[in-house]
Amino acid sequence: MAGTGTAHLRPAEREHVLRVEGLTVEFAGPERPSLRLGRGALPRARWRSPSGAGRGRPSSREGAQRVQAVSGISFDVCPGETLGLVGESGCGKSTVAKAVMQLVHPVSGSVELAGVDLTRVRGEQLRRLRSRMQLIFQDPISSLNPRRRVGEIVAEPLEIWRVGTPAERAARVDEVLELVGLDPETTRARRPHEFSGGQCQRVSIARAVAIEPSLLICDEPVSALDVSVQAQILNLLEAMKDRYGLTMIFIAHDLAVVRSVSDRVAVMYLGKLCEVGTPERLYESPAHPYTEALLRSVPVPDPSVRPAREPLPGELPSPLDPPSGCRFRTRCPRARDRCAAEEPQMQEVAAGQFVACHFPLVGAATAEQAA
Amino acid sequence: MPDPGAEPSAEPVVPGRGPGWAFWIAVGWLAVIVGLSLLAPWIPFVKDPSALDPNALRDGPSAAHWLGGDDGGRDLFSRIVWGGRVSLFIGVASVAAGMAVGGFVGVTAGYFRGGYERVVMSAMDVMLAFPALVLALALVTFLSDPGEQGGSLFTVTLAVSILAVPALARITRAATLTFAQREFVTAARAQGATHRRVIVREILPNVVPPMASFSLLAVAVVIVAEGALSYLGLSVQAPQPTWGNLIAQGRPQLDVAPHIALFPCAVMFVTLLALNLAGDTLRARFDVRELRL
Amino acid sequence: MTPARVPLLLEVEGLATTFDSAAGSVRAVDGVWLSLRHRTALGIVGESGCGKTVLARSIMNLLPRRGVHREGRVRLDGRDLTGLSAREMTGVWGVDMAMVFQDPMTSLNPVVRIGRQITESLRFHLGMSKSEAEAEALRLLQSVRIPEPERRLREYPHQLSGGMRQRVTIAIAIACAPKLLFADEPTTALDVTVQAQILDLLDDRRRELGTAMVLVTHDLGVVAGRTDEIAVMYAGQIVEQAPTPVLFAEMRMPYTEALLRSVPRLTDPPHARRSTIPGRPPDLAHPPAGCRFAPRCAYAQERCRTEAPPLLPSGIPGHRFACWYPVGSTEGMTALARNVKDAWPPALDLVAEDRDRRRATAPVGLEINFEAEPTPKGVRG
Repeated sequence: MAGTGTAHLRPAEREHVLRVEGLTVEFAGPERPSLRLGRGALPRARWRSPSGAGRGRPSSREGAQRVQAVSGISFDVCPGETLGLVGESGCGKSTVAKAVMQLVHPVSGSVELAGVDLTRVRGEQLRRLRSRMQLIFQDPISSLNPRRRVGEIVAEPLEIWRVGTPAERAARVDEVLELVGLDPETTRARRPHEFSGGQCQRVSIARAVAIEPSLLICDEPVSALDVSVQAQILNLLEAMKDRYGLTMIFIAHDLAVVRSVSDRVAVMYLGKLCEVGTPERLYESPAHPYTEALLRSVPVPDPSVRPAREPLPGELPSPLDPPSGCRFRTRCPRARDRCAAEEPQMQEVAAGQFVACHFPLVGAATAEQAA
Repeated sequence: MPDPGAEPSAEPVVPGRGPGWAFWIAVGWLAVIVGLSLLAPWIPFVKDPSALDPNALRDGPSAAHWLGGDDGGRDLFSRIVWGGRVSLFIGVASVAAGMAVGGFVGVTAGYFRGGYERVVMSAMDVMLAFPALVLALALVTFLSDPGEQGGSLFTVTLAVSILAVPALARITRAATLTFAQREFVTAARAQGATHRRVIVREILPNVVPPMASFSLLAVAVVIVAEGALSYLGLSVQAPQPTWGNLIAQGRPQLDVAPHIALFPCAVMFVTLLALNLAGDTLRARFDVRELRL
Repeated sequence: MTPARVPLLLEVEGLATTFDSAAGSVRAVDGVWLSLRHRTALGIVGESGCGKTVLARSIMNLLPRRGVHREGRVRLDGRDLTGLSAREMTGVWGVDMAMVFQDPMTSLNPVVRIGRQITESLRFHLGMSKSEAEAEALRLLQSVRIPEPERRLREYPHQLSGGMRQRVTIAIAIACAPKLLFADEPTTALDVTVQAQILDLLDDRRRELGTAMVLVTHDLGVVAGRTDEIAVMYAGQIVEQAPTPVLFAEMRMPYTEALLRSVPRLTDPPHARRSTIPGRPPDLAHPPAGCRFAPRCAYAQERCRTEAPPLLPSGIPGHRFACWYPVGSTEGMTALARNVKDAWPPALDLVAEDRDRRRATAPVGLEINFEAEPTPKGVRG
């Protein structure tokens, strides 16, 4: 599972909203691991300052390890398309989202938004381009400022970019609140803590679509919600997509959630891509053992289906010291010597299905393994 | 389906606990003290603090002199009110100044992190490492004109402000850190907000309320610090009264006329208690809101 | 309801829990009757705010005493726990009943080493010596399949991943081999892959120790393959309860149906509208009159809005439900058809979603076929 391959990219001539090539993000690892507190250590990558200073700064400290959060990932998203990006916690999928937004600086690789490489622009131009992409986060409460009113929160992007007159902005806020299923009259003056998680997520969506971005990145938007509310939010995102012709990247850890919203699904493991394909192909006949394991771990609401025993044993290896060759080999039932020695490259195993595996479950290489 | 309304909470609701009577007594006391101090020159029953009345020499409380007279026969009540003017001014002004500098340092350090934070916060730690009183002595001596006895109101305020900066910076930074990592800050950046806008619109509204309640506690600390400086003869000099030098002045006569030291002591004690109570109550209220968010 | 002469582990009779709040008193649990046999697993399913967590904590008597009123009776293995003081409960907590919480980070003490957090209850409840407890802790960590258990004993919670932390909380919960284990959304904060591991682990350890389990979750998919019985909760009440296979095959309560339909499936057609439950659970300070689900129910009729349906047996052993117009019955079919005609939004949603799914022609497990001739499956007596 390399992800270093680019076989799955559509021809560069085709119109893209986003084209990411060889994206690599590293963080300074913990110097004294025992003193850092859990989550805080990794995502605390520095903001990219407006001057662009400190970009890709190599760690100066002797012996400081590098967390290889994202290692040479390539993908593209065409207009009106939704890319589902799936993987376990810690596989780097949220980092991909932040690196695309240039909220963390990639060490190498390019991020082209409508033809402009974002890694090469900075300052005012970057700020302008960045606003064409919007993010929706997992935690609906934490992504809204507790001390501001919903009306102000949704108006914020309009204010930043001075869209229209104040009256036009107010009308726009009401319009998007209405669109996401909230009554503007009663919600405008309230603060986030007066709402449920699902409603807060609606406010986040209203804020994101208020300035009609060309790319909407949803980072686990429903993982913190009840299943019944999940469905409401997914329907809402689909409706927004239809209305504004949005292009989306939808990040999740659960393949079942992305199924109905995605046009293309990419499966990620430990900073690399394993498999990319249309949902039809990928769910019917997964080619990568990891994709298969993810599929088997989805609970089925049917008591006659025995849940799979340990669909994926073990833990995600440390991104400080990822396994050689294929990164999935330490948990892969099909791993052979070759997997440790040689990094698999992306290859097409079926129409519209690409996999980075030496012994895929689908296609020509399967026969080879059997031999 | 627009259906806002009270969230059906699965969590036990904390029974609505208003700020009890103690809080309101504290606020009432502070209002009286602040009102008297502000209006001292115009209030008829507050006398000239340096007028001598030979009949009231070390006298106990009487109708003419509510809290009695001091060793010069000056009206102790009026002196305490005028002393409060100075003590409270030093308290409020130096906390405000300290908060302006320390708050700025703390917010920027907590938001930008990195090398800037390391340098600035190390400087703050160096200042914190000095024994506070020794640093205050050094500052007052250094800031005063040569030959001047003790410090002027300005130098004392400045010295205490400088003392307050590191602690306030540390606390502000801690408060900022908890919010700077929240996703709404990332969301604001993603919308294209500039750093200044993120700090003003997203960070400050969250950091200011807890800091404001904390500064009430800080005022109390500064009033004590001024008292200590007075006691050492380094604060604003007599005859201009401050609570600190009133106490210092009453000390030699504790055995003959204890009220000269005890009344200013009591007023200072109750004021500190009130500041602490009010500050604590407000802080708790903000914390509770924070927890329920 | 339960076969006679089978000794019951847990009996909950008319349990009701009320909180004082600024908005008035909130009846988070409103008259729950439950029983659980030894060694069985019960799933409690419902949306957030339906009182399932409060129910679990009320049974365990884990709620704060101030501002909380508890009525009803809880018996564990024949022993009445109702009037026990907190001091007396400490002899029950951990030994007879234990709980695994949703967020392993907050249920573990961040500044205490894993080893001490496990040995603490062993030494307190079972009176083990330090070295005995340490050996037992090591064995427990092995039993919850934590790699390198010797090293983990000396580590702090933040040094472990979310899944490992949840394994530690399970180790702590089963340390004294409790008779009853509550698992309150134990996998909601975790990845699907880890979820499968944790659920397997809970199941294995529970069977091995002969412990009964109450698994609280919002996802019917989670309880489907792993419980013997399921109770569906809505607005503080149990609205349907049945042995797991019966519930899925013969569900009667529209709320259960709606919950099931909202579970995301691997077979969902692309870009089809997802089934939702419109609106939100009611404010329990002012619950609606009649059936509490009526404002969101596709089948709701006039009677539902005025008269609360009682929880009655369906005729199938162990199955009870509370609905005037149950799913799959003639009354239900007619009610739905009438609501579609009257353009009642939840009913229109249900039909539209169903049509979407059919159009996509993807094979859907457990389709509820209400457009066909109504075939009454079992009429309540």
